[in-house]
Amino acid sequence: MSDPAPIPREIRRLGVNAVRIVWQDDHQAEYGNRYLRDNCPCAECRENPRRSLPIVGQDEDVYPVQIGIVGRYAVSMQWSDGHDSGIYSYRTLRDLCPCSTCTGAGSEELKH
Amino acid sequence: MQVTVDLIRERLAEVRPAGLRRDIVAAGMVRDVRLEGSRVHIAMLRGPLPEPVLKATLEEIRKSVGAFDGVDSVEVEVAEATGAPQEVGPIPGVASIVAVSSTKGGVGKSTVAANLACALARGGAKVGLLDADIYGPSMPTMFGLSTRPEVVNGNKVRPLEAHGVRFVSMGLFLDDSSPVIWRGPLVTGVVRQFLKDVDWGELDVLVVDLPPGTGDAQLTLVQHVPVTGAVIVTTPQDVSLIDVERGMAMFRQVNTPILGVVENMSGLVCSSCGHHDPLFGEGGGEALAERFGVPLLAKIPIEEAVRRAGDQGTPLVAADEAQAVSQVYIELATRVRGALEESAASNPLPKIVG
Repeated sequence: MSDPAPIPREIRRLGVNAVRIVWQDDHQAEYGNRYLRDNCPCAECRENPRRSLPIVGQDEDVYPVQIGIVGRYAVSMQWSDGHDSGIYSYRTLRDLCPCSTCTGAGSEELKH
Repeated sequence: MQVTVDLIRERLAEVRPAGLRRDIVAAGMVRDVRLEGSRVHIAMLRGPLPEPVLKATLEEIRKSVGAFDGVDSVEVEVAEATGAPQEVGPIPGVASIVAVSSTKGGVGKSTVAANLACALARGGAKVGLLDADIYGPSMPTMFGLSTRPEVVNGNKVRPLEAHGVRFVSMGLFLDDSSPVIWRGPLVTGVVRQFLKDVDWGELDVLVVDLPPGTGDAQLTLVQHVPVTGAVIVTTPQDVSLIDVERGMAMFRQVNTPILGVVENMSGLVCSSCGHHDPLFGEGGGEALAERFGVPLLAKIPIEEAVRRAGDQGTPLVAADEAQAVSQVYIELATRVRGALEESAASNPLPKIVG
């Protein structure tokens, strides 16, 4: 059986630039809005991928207008460009974490 | 020129708050524009605007929309962008949700759900029961009520109430004879509506009677409802553990804690001599609970009285509390309540801020 999915404790919008998630295991992830938007997991976006670098600070052109909780496993994002069909599961968000620990060799962090 | 909603929207599309690269319409912040005579009502989301920018933006909206001929007042309602309950989020006023599920039909899931709801209510909780078993809604029979619920406040359905339990069932909206054929998306739509459009009021526990099985419909359901915990109903002979394993996997996939297993039809108590006959074998529930590391919450024997009470429209717990089976249900309710509280405390929903 797979590991239980990670669960966020807090999801905070950092102005128009980024979203920060503090996970229950105290890991902190900071996502540039553009990066998060480009990795929208909805079918439409996956068909037509657009990928940017996960750099915070150049991202104020798109931001989440509304973040909602979906059941116990995901959040929905309504983006300022009008797109609102993306449902980001906690697992997806954790996998998208752009921090060096998660992306580098130290992917151990993911297993917590 | 006569002012119209479209004209107002056009003007709103010229409003661009400081620090944003787009206007408030393009940014999706304008949710609704209504024109009633000479009054304009605008509903908008705050978005990420800091307080001073928001204030200036509202000022600009009032000024530019108010400049139309024939507009006397402009009212702008601003909703915080985050933390607001969404249609897929928690239900306002409902403290916890327990899903009663079974991986196959015919194990008495709905009987367990009905009696559990009544037992919770006896214990002093405010209880709601959502009969989401759209394939075979049986709550109207078990609660002896089949009147179509009233619509109140324009668009809210008022749940029926019997034996201290507020309940809503698909069965209340169907003709008795019509067969029910549902597909996943339709099921989700209906259940979402039940959650959103039913005026549950304040509830300590909402019991959701899920359709049996672990298919698409069930998965979508638990995906969209922030279930506090799930109870899995099985029978002792249910040794084909693979079914149950599927159920467990389904709940794990959507982060829903499993409170435990209820073994129903756990032997037959002879109505004349009281002898206990393990009709369907013994130990199935224990084996299952042990194998998956979840508690066995109750073993409920077959009693003719349970069936009779259900068919007559009063779940046994409400009809005759003194019965041995009723006592089993009351004990089950206590355990479920405790497990729900524990689950809610250890699995809080994330806070959305900023």
